[in-house]
Amino acid sequence: MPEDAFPSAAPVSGDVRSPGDGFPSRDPSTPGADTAGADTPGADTPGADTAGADTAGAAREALAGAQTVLVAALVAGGRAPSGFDRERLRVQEASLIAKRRRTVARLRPDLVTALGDAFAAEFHAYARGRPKPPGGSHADAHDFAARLRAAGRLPEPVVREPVAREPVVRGPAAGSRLWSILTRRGGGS
Amino acid sequence: MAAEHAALGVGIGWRPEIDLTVERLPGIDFVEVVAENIDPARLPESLRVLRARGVPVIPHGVGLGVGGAEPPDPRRLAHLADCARALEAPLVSEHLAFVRAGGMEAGHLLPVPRTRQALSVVADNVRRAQDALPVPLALENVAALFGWPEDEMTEAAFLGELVETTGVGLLVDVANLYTNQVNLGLSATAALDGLPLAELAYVHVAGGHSRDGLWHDTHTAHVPDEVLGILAELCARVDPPGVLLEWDDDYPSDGALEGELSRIRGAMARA
Amino acid sequence: MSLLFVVAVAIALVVILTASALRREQRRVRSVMAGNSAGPPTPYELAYLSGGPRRVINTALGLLAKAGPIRISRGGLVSLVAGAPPSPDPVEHAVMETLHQRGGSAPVGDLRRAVAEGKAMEGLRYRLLGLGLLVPDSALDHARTLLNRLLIASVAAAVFTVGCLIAGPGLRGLPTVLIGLLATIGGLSSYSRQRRMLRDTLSRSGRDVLAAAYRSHARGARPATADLAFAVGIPVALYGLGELGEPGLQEELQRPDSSGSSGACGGGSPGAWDVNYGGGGGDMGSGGWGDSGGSSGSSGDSGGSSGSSCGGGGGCGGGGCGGG
Repeated sequence: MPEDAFPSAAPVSGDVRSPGDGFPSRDPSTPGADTAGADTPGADTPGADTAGADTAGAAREALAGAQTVLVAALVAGGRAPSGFDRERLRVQEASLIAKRRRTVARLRPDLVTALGDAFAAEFHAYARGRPKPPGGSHADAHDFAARLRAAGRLPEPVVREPVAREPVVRGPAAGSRLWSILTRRGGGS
Repeated sequence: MAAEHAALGVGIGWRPEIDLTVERLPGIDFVEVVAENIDPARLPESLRVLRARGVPVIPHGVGLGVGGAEPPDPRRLAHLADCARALEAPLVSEHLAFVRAGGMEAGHLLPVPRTRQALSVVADNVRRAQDALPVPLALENVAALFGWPEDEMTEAAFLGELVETTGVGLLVDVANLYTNQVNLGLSATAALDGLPLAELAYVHVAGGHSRDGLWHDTHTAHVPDEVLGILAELCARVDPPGVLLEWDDDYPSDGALEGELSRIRGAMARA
Repeated sequence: MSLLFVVAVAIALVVILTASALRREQRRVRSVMAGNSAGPPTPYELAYLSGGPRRVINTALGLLAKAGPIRISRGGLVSLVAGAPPSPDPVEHAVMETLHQRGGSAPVGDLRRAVAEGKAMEGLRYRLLGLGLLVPDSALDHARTLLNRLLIASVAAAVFTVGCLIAGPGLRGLPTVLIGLLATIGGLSSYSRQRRMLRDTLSRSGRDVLAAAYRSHARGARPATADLAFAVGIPVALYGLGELGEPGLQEELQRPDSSGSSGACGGGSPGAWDVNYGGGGGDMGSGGWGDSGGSSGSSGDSGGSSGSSCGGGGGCGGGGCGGG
């Protein structure tokens, strides 16, 4: 597997992207990131941009159906399509999760520290059956942290605590501070 | 069609963590950079240094998914084209793989079903990519943990037809041939026999790990002798324009990387 | 004998008494008994004495990068070299462990913060305290109070003197003005000297150890030895990253320093620590933790360092003013 043909290594400086990062994959012709089609090949195949009768269009449609089912099985908990080596798909699925985990560990060393040895298992539980969110690895890390917090595995972020006790705001400096707190809060919830 | 591919020599994958190492390693004739990791408008200083020395830098894409059902994303193609122009690259390389489907990112280079029908889609995708790029495109064979039940032809035959119909160049990853030999029982020698090596643009070499009887092409370890053996086999058939070492994480010392490069040179000379 | 004259004498007395109390206090606090060290000071001990936690970390980064266990890349990203054996030294171990925890690499600024606040740095500080080379920061609290008092007295002297001048003292008032003026000048200059001394927490023995190290390791001298701790560690510990002998490496390690505030490693107890004893011109008063002076210092060996190793302006010995 060219596991690291993708830059699983390195996004420390934030400039290394996994293939999906930074380039939203939302073509008009691409259906949303739903996984409903996992068990029904062709059910959510894109209409592509050609006439249905066109053989090229039909070829694209058939390929899209087959690839969607396979990807759903690998990243969205879909059932393995028939004819494939199920054990190998399971190995592939685990290796994709491990790759996501390594990237998130680099982005959020604090989570690694907080969870210790449980990090890998927690991440696996989070990522299994859940495709990487459209925002890429940063969104992945964010979602993972949010899930941990919701489960009580992480302390609430310190920045949020003082907000409720913030005194009534006076003056522009305080106003801009409140603004930054509010926006940060908005982004974090 | 046998296009003459530019002579590149021996190179290494440029990564930000080892930028100074790449700059100071002796005998680096060319490098490759993961295209998705750079902004062509603000190239990393290290790449500018290398370009100023006349070292060719090849943008290597990992996210185009030319083997996907969708036509390649014009924005991704524009990015690759901008990288090629900014780096004055002799060519751009990508993979014969798909990386997303149904709106889901696989986060990985997955093998394409090797059917006639899929071939027509991929050939159309390749032509679209070629039209958008200012320099030739080369496609790399991927490694796989599994094959498609509907496969009608070998990867070599699939690539051969693709090369013939589109004129796309070939990037042969000998570590991927080895991976498929171990994991899928596909003979690397047979693959070399089947590949259109006249269209070879350059070669990838990398190390990996064996786990539970499977080979994982991690690009984080010493290149096994078996992979170098395949390289030597390849060199016995064709004089490759370039050979590049990929190392993506757990970077060893400068000396160890230098040692790997000289092992590669040794394998090339063996042929 | 006017009332004003009496006041002038009183203020001058307060200034003199406070200044000498402050000198005595500094000397008292810093003259702790030196403990028994097993051997000569290590590069990291010298680095702490010379430039505080930041110098310690820079020394570790320089040593590890030269020896091989870590690699620095452009932009100041530090990463572990795969297969490097663990280091027995606590500070080096902390650097490598921090990188390991972050998946193998970290920006140099983050790394500095983590190591400065870590146990290894605390351990080094306690060791130096135990050896009597440092004094606890809190031991200087009384000295700081006296320093404030000295400032107040000096300002009072200044206000008094200016007041007298405005009032037009005439010939008879001249002694009053002169006394006020002397109290002001003497008080303020003593204040600035003592304040500078209060920026570090070195004991007298600590200063002696450091001075001896500066004497035996001249800036710019490259000991011809394969022992990196000696060839690289001690020069960097004493004089900063300029002594690495690798401008590229030095540049990458210093790059974030300019953007980051000096608070980047607020771990240690001592304050600003900008006094770099043997430094001569370059490092003196360069602000921050002294390493930023390394770049200028590397070119400026001639800056007077040939003189007393504690030269640069009253570093040791309590300053010129009436040190009896």
